[in-house]
Amino acid sequence: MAYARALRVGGVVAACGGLLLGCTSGGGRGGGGSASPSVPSGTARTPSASATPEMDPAREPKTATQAQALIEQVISGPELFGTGVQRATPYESDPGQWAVLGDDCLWRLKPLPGDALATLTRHFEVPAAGGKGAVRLSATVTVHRTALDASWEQARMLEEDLDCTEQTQRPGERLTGLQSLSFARGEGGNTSGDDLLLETGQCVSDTRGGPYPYWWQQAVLGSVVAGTSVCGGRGRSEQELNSLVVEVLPRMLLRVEQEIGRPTGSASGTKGGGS
Amino acid sequence: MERLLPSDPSRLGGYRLLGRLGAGGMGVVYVARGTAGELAAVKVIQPEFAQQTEFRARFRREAESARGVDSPWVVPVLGADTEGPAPWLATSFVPGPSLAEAVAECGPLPARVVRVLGKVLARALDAVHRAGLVHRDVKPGNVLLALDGPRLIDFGIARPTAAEETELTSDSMVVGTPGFLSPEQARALPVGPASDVFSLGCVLAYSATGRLPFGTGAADALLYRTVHDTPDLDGVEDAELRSLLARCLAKEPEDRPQVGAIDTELMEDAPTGSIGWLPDPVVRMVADRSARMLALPGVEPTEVPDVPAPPGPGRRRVLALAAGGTALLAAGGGAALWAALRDNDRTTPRSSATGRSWTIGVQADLSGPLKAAGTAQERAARLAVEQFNSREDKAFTLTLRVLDDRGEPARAQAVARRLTADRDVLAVLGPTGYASAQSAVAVYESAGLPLITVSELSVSAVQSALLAKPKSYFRAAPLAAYSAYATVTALTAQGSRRPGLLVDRAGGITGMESVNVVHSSTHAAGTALYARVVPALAPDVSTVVADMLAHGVDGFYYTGTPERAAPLARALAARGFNGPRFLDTSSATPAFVSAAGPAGEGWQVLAPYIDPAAAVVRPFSTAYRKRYGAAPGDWAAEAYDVTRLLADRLTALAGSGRSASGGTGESAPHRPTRAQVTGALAKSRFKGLVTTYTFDADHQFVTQRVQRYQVKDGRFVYLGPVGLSS
Repeated sequence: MAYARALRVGGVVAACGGLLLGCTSGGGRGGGGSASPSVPSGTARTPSASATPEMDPAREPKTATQAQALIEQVISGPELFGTGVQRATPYESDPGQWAVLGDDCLWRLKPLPGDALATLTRHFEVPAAGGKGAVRLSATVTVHRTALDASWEQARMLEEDLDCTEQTQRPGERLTGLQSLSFARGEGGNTSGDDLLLETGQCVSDTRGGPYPYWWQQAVLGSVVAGTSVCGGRGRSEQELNSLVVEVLPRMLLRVEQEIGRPTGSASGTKGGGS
Repeated sequence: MERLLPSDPSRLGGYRLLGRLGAGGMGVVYVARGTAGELAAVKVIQPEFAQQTEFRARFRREAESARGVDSPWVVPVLGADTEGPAPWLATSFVPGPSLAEAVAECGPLPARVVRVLGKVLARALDAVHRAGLVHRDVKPGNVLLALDGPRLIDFGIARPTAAEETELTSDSMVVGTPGFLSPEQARALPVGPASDVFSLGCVLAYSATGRLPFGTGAADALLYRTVHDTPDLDGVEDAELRSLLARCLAKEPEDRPQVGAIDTELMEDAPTGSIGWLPDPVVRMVADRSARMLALPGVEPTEVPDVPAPPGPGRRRVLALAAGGTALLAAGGGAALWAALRDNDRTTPRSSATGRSWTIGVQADLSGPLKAAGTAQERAARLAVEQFNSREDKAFTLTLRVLDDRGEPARAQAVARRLTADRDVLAVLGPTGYASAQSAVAVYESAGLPLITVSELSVSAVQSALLAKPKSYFRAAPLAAYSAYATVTALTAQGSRRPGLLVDRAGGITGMESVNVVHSSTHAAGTALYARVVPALAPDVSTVVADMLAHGVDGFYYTGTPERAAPLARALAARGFNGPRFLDTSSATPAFVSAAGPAGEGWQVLAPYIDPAAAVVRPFSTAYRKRYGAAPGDWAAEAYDVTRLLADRLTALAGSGRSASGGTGESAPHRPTRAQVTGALAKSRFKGLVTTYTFDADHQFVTQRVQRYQVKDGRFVYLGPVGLSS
């Protein structure tokens, strides 16, 4: 039972921790066989060879303008996604706002808080074709003033899924059965972020149907938080969905590292995670 | 290093022999000290070779050529006697590990490191070839890593041709080491410098991937594949490097690049007298090993001229690493193992002719973050084995092989490889914690060697390692999730209606994992959970206390670390909070009690381990105290039970041991396979002191209870078992 629902995304395994009471407190994900893991990985790695990147405070953005410029450099366009992914309309969010989850489990747009310098979300889709439904995807990058602020954003997201296992994104668009887990560097195959969060659940739409598989991956690297989401469609397997997003987050993080990381010297080694 | 045998000479020329480094087909290699105090490796040729006129002539010629090899990356020849009855050749002694050990222990090397290594070895081979020699045995075991850089050793001198080898030794048809041989060597054809290029390609591919380009297995199959198959370079991620290696591994010698071209093509700065370009774990290993070799009796570091202190940051880094380093091996002679590993992999099978031993392995964290738990387990296992061996009716004598993985992922993987490679090991106790399990479990799974832990109780370590149900991995204590579930039950039973969960990310995944269990079970219990998550970067978790209390929290459950739990305890005490307060297992240690002081009083934990002072395990704690002169630590009783469980299973499998009837049957006990041990463990029903051990289909311990403790008068006091279903 405990092994029925391992989802490997971006090289990290999201283990369903609810082994006593089952993993499905919020309703089962679609297509659940019981024996084998559902999504194989394209980028599985053992946590051995890569060095822990360090961010260079001198290169981290200090102003909103610098933060916006950084986001432009690192946020994914369609190119990092898998085959067939294109821009959706609208493509980019309003950079002066971000979505906040209320006590009523409803998302609302609010002005950017003081600890965040800039944020941007881009929306993508794979159009319906060949009898299969459309897939919706997104990429978000937020730059905070400090790494501590960024890590609090990550912590808040973990809290949100405990408070609201069902969330309404917009009227008629819901997420259900949400669960999340977070991995420090070196844990569970996380080699690319200081901390990596995986949220899994289903997306349900009044117009597009569902429930379909949904997941969100979000990583912190220094003062930057980057994330990507996918919401499936009719006839889309988890494997197919995974192939669309599997590269996006690691590569955005790599871009972040190139932009604001400390130039790496010769040293490279293993940092073990875990306790 | 092994001691000299009575048959060994005590001096050779100007060298005083100190010990044996290894023995191969051609002779014995000794570590020795010269008249000027310098250390040397002295290779003495076996008499049967020395008597061959042709061989002696070639040895004379090659020793002369070798004196002309001039490269910082090749060990220099210090002296030779080509005329005496026992000819010998002395080279500088390099007190470091081999590349083979570095890759085995620390994993494959990053592409950039492989390129630097390729450059250095190409230069070394160039010098060998310029002197008119062909190395003929380029392999990771012949590349030693010293504090001032790598060295190619054993270069083409005193090595027989294929014809001589066939004539004089019966067990080996080819010269060199299968897996690193060129096709022309495999076919026993004459070899030139291009043969070394092929072997270099194998060495670099192995360094980059940890795998041999023509696989492993029986020597003849390997040689066949070397001659006929395309090399497997899939794991070499750097495209340029892959293309270069493919050319080095061309079947026809004339299609391979020359060593000078390889040097030029690898666009990296060649290192100058440091190993700063190697990964940290390797640098640490080199530093450890060098320090250990130089600490051998009769080997004073002040008298070693070939370990200079290179200037600059490289040296400082090495020293810093060495200062924090300790020996890998807790048991057994590290230096002997070093010598065995450094010697030809092909010539030293582990098991002796006197028969196989029945070995239980222990993979434990004996010097890292979980050393208290690891040491307690190792000592308990030792006691159980000693008690077993003292029984007259035992069917066999048990051996314990203990390796320290420090809780470091790379080391844990290397330790697992060592234990699985030891054919005598039938089962392993361990690992101690999450980081080790994550990288070691897969090694045990693929080797089919049963691994049984009492303290690694997470769900995700094995999931991230395997993505499947484990076949060989057993957990002999309640998983952490049971403790989390029981904690919610206890909070409710103690009157909490608004339990507060404080997840400190400093606790890592082991604390995080319980969150969803807590969430579901509070929901099921009808209580209203209020959860806060604090990042590891936050300096003080108690900053969320005010918010949690403002939300009406009347009971606390903290998951994190002992040190960070203390300020929380103080903050709650300062506010006069009196509700039930629980820690997770990782944070409930003596460090919490001492850091929290009086504020720690009353905090509880539901832990998987029993108090070693509990009445039910008294026979164990009494024997432990007698054996070690101190009380056993947490997890010791479980490890003792599990070692006895293993002995019990092995005894059952061994069949008709000399049992209760006191019969005199001297028939050897039946030695089970590892698969049989796994099968027998899965069907266990063993009554230990702590509990009766049975396992479910996932090889997890079947239990209905955990153990309750509460801080009273400055220490955790055991309050007895708690049922899960209450």
